[in-house]
Amino acid sequence: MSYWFTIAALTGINVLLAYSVYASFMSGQVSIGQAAFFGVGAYVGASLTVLGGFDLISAVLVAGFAGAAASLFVGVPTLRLKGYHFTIATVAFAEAVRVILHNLKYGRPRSSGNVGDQWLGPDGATGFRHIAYLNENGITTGQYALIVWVIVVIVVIGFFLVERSRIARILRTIEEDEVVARAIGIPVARYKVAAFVCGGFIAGMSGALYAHLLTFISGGDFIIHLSTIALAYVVIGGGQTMWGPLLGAILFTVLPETLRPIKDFRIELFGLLIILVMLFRPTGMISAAAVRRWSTPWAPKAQRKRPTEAF
Amino acid sequence: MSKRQKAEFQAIKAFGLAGALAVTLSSAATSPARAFQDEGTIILCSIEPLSGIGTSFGQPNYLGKVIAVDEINAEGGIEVDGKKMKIKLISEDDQAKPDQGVPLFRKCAESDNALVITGTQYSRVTESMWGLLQKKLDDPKDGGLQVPSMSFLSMKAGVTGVSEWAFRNAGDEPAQHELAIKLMEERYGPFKNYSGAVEANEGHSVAAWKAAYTPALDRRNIKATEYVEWYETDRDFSVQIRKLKRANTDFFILSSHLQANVGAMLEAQRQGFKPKTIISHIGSDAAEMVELGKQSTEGIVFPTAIHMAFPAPKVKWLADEYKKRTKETYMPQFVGLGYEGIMIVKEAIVKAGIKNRPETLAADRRKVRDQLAAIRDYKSFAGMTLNMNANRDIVRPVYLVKITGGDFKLYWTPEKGFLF
Amino acid sequence: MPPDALLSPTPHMRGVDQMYFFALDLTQTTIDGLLFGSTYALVAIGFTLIWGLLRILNLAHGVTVMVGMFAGMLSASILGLPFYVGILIAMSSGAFIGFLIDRICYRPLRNAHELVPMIATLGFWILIEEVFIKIYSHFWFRDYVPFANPFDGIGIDIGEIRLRTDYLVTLAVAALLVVALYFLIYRTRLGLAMRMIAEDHDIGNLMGVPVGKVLTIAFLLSAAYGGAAGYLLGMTANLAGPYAGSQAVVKGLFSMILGGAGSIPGAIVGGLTLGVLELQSSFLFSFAYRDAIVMLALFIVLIVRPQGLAGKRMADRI
Repeated sequence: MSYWFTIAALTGINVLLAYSVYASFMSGQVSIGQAAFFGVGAYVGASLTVLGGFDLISAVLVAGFAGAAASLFVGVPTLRLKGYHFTIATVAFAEAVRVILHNLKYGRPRSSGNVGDQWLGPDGATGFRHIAYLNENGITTGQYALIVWVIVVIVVIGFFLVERSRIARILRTIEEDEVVARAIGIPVARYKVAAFVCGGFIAGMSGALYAHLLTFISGGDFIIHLSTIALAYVVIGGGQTMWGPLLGAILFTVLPETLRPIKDFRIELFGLLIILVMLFRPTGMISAAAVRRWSTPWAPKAQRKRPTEAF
Repeated sequence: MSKRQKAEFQAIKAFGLAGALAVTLSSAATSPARAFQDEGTIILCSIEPLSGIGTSFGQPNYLGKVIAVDEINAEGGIEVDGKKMKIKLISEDDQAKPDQGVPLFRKCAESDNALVITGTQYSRVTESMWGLLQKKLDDPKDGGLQVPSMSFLSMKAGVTGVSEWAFRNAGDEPAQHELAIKLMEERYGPFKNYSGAVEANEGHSVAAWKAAYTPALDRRNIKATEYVEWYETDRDFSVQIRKLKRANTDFFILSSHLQANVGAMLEAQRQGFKPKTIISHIGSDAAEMVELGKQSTEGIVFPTAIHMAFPAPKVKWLADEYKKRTKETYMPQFVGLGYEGIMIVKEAIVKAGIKNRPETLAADRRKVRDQLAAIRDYKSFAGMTLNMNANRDIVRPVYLVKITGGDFKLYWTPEKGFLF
Repeated sequence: MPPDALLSPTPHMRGVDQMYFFALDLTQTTIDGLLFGSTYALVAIGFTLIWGLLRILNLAHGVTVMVGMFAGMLSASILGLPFYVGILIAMSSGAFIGFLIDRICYRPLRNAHELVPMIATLGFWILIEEVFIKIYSHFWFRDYVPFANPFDGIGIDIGEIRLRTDYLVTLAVAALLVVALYFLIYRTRLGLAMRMIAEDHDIGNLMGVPVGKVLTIAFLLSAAYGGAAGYLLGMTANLAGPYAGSQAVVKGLFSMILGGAGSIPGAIVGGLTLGVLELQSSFLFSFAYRDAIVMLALFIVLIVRPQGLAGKRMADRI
């Protein structure tokens, strides 16, 4: 059973990662650099429990703030970059962060340890060992999955509330046309940075949760593929509504695991499914129209508008 | 039907199909073959990088295990509680990715109810998996898994320190390299300039440099004249090789794996960089070194645990068996380590006197773990005697291999010294 | 790792000798970087063609590099065909992959948001790479296979500077392909059509340009260049491996960005700059931060000159 709890926890972590992409996605900023904030969160979160004696929840929160700070660092200078230039800047930043994490060394020597294992804390390319908070405090995988999913639910509720508020409409306006948004008096810069920083916060929390699940992390974990897959969750699930990232991340984390019986071909099937979803539902699996249809089944037919554009 | 409706209909159909597929597959996943111990099998789990980056050692290692299990089962199995029981080897592929390995380790421990988990062999993933284990025995506060796990590689220094349930059969890298340096110094020394090259994005190579090569140089009061780094995926090594050449390196430590080794040595050949001695680690134990590197890799010396040319007849048999299954003429040490590892686990199971019933699983695991920790004077199929040390690493004699004439020749043995 | 050993070039040499060797190695490193960067430039050209026309990040571009590399490996190592035949085979097999990308990932999705084909190419990349690895590991029990390099070990010496022949060949091929591309774009009707599409699809449509056909040709071209890059990457490293595509694609992407996305001179400048930057940062500074140095350079370029080193300033479409 705890195998499935581990999968559940991993799924929750991926859902958070997907939402971290989605936060800025709403305002039209497409990031392929979430691995950077995820990695910063992982290192900060793990350092706090291992070296600082923090408890898990505060470590995760602080990791979230670290991720937010890192994203502020990217968000402000890249503000005036348009569209894909922004995307590409996030890629470059994420790679730089990965290399830095890969070379980080801080912490303290361990009193006892085998040869080659005498350091507590990240030790450059050797990695960051002994993130044993869960075992040390007797937290079972089931409980951990619960903790992860409580955070996921809070984040989902947050997005649910935002989605129904003015903020979402403002962000969508910015996505549609920044010039128009500015013309009608929306402080575009502030909203864009805020959205991106929220994404960084969620990615940071997600990274801290990941570090504690994996018990060992190294800079090499936070590669560009992670960021790409995170974006893929959103696009596959559907970037029009907040349910898309949830569905995309769940489906594409659980599916490769359930495909294990045909394990030799599960990665191929994963790739094939991505193509198929994109081919048959370019709007992602859940479109805004579908959500409208389900949430208001009594609505007259005329209201069931089709989206003219994909996003 | 309008065009749009048609498209929608098709999409729904496709999704229905995909959904049906997913449901079938997941139902297949949740009803695994529940062959528990009481049906007369001993369940061992094998987690390996069978695809992806670690294939070059994962596959040979896995084959070694399979050969061992086939052999044991052909003899009727292991005697447990008065009757012979066969081994069932459940094989999982972690693709050398930690986020695949961690759930798999849990699956092996808690769903498959494996008695022992063998693997994985890629240090990065091993470290994450072993982090799930109970750190110290009998620690009631520690909620970690309590299942013996043994890796037949994971060379990275210090990985067994993570848990007292973790064992390793790979060889003690600091001792290996200390010996290699000492022997080469005795034979070809004195050397003036010791230089090192490290694959900086690969944990094991970096750890080898930090925990094995640097201390060995420190003991000699030597500071590396030149130190260069590269990445496994690099394709141009001109700068690094030039630096090494300018430093008049005569003792070259190559802490790196095959692709980079081949690239760097070819570049060394181009630049005419020919140090008197080159020593390397397990990353050089791959047929690619001579197939791709050709002349350039001649003369590289690296320590090995098991070599095809050992006199023990069983080694020859294993090499033949390996050749039969893969058509490979050179058997890297991973095959032997996998084969031998299963045999060590078997020894521990036999000695543990387990009951192998569902209700005794926890006790059985503990007994096997204690027997693994108590392995002393174990006679390996390859002819040497092995011991488990306090760090739960198998202590094994070191042999040196030298790449000569396009082949991996046994170069030095503890019994006979230098062979050529 | 002693950091001082990394920063000071060869501490045992003193005075004039040290200065001389430093200057010599600096020059040699720059030249090697430029020559080596030409493969990056070739990968980047393929990227930039699709980007310039469609604003799609073709993540499956690495597949064409990988297929080109293996087609080249088969022709060079197994069939023993000469270099120029091999590179043509590599280019055409790359082009075949380009055709598949067009038909599977782009054409059915041409009306969707740009991200949709991009994610489809991600799926295509994962799918084809895995299938390829299955086929590969069926035939070879190896991580890498040898790639016959007819130019290996030969070089041209100018004083103490040595130019590797295979790098020179790479540069020559890259230059030839770039000139051909230039001719195509600025001297033919097809090129005119492409330029028109790059400006605006709708205008292209209105002017009677067969947009679909032109884009298919663009995909074929882009992939053929990827195939050529794969051949050259394999040849200069003397080996071919199934992951080479994924590794090359990242470098190609960064080259493209560095020079200016969507511009062909940008791809060339970017590739060469990346080559020099990589080699020089490991020569002059610490290797450990080589990629970080490159990435920070990239980041700064993006902020200061979003259009890239060689790109033209884009007019804001307001």
